[in-house]
Amino acid sequence: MTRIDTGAAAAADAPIQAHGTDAADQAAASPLRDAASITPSTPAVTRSTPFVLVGRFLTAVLLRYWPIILLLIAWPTWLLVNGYSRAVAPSPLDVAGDIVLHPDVYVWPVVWTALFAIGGLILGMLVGVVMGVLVWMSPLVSGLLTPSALILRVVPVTAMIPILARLFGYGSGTVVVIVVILVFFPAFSLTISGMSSVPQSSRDLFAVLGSGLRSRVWRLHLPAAVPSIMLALRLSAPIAILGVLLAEYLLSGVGLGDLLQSSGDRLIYQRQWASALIATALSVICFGLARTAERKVVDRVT
Amino acid sequence: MPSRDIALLDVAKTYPLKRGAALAALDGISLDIANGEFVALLGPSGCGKSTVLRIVAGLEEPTSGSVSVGGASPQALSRAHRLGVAFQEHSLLPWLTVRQNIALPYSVAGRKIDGAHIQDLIELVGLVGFEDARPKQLSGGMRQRASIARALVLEPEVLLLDEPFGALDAVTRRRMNRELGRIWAELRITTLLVTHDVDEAVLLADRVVVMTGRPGRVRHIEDIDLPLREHSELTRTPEFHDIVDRLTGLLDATKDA
Repeated sequence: MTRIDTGAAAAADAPIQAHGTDAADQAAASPLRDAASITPSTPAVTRSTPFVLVGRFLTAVLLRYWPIILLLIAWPTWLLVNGYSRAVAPSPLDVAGDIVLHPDVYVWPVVWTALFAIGGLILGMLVGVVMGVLVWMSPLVSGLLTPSALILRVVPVTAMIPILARLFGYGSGTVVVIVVILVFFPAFSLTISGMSSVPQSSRDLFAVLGSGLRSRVWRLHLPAAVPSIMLALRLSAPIAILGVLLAEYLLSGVGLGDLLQSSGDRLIYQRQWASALIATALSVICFGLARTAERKVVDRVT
Repeated sequence: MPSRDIALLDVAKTYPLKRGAALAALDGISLDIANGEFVALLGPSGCGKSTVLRIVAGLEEPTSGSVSVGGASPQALSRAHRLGVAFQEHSLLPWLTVRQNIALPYSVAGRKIDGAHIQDLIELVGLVGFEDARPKQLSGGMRQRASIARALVLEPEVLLLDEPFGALDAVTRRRMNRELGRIWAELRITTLLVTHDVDEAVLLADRVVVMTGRPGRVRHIEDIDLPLREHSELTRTPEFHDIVDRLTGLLDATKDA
């Protein structure tokens, strides 16, 4: 079975890894070339020495995560050069220390933020896909829904927050609504374009089979749109985290966004910075999970 | 097995182009295909032979003239789920297995899936052992066989084949032709095959209709009296080669014209 690469992220991985192993081979080859002049040895043996393996691993890590490593070096350097004290900006050690010493402070905010993001993401995807299918099926529904969908898309969500808070309250309900507003549009438009991407030969097939519209949507156009819907999921996963953080920061009294805000108010900067880091990690994890799901599902339907 | 006749009377098809110009694809096509007859439509690329098939399938309307299938419109036949079509592109659904793809016409027609019948068809087209494979795991020839099994699954009254082996290599194509001949000899459904391969047309059909280049017209109709479907070794005989040579000559002449 051949795996089909999907999306730019999947394609981007391959060259980095290939490049990494090449560089590791070259780096490891130079000392061994000298050794080969004394005791000739086959490449098959030299390739598997622990030295080469560790070197290859470190090179791969360096090539893949150099921005993070650079950040960890630049951050304390920046503090040192400017002579900033802890009251101005925390060091990486302060931030790590706060996470290790007070894990109880972070556990519930992380759980809340993750739950709201996932819940909002699922709900938003559902709303988007269902709307997309209805709009695709009926010109009337399309005329009714498409303009309002575009308006929701165009108005900046931060501008809507005060109004939404009046409508849905200053609590968790509004957080979910904001995530749904952010997430539904990619699902909506990608569902429509995915459903329209069915090749003519498949449309002909369903025509000669005497298929009705519902059967055609259910058995042909919707399955054909699954790769596009999964693309929407991958694009929306980090946006869902962003939406929850923003809403929590501005509205509710729970979650990482609230921790970010309240620890800033209380001048506990290492906690504020740690919340930001954890939120970033959460976003990366969400993206990674969505990408894995996308690859598996797309492999199954293409 | 129930079957139906096909009647095309003075069918023409023109496509409108820019600035009021029109492209004449077909002109004055009249053709009767009897109940249980296998007719091959032979012609050079772009002569409109696929358009004839699409009109018989109800996918396109003729600009003038009439087409009827068993006395009714082609669309009536597909609405009744009595039409089987295999296209040049196999158009198997990639998310379904071979068995599910062959069962698709049952689901679309809202009928109960007859698992035993599907298994019989899988045996008939030689896909035993690949029932649960998905299209991308199959070779081109196997996909076309699955596509033909799908066309046959509802025991259609009319079978339309649009260059079903067009994308295959010569050897596989030969083998598929012999298999199709064997399958058809068992079922004897009214069949229209569109092809540009002279051997294929002569081997499979009772009658071969040779078309001219654009606009497509009927140039010649050849009755094939050799029992080739049952005895494919007859393709080595001089009679077979005579017919093939003559029809190839007609095709060449249409290209020059």
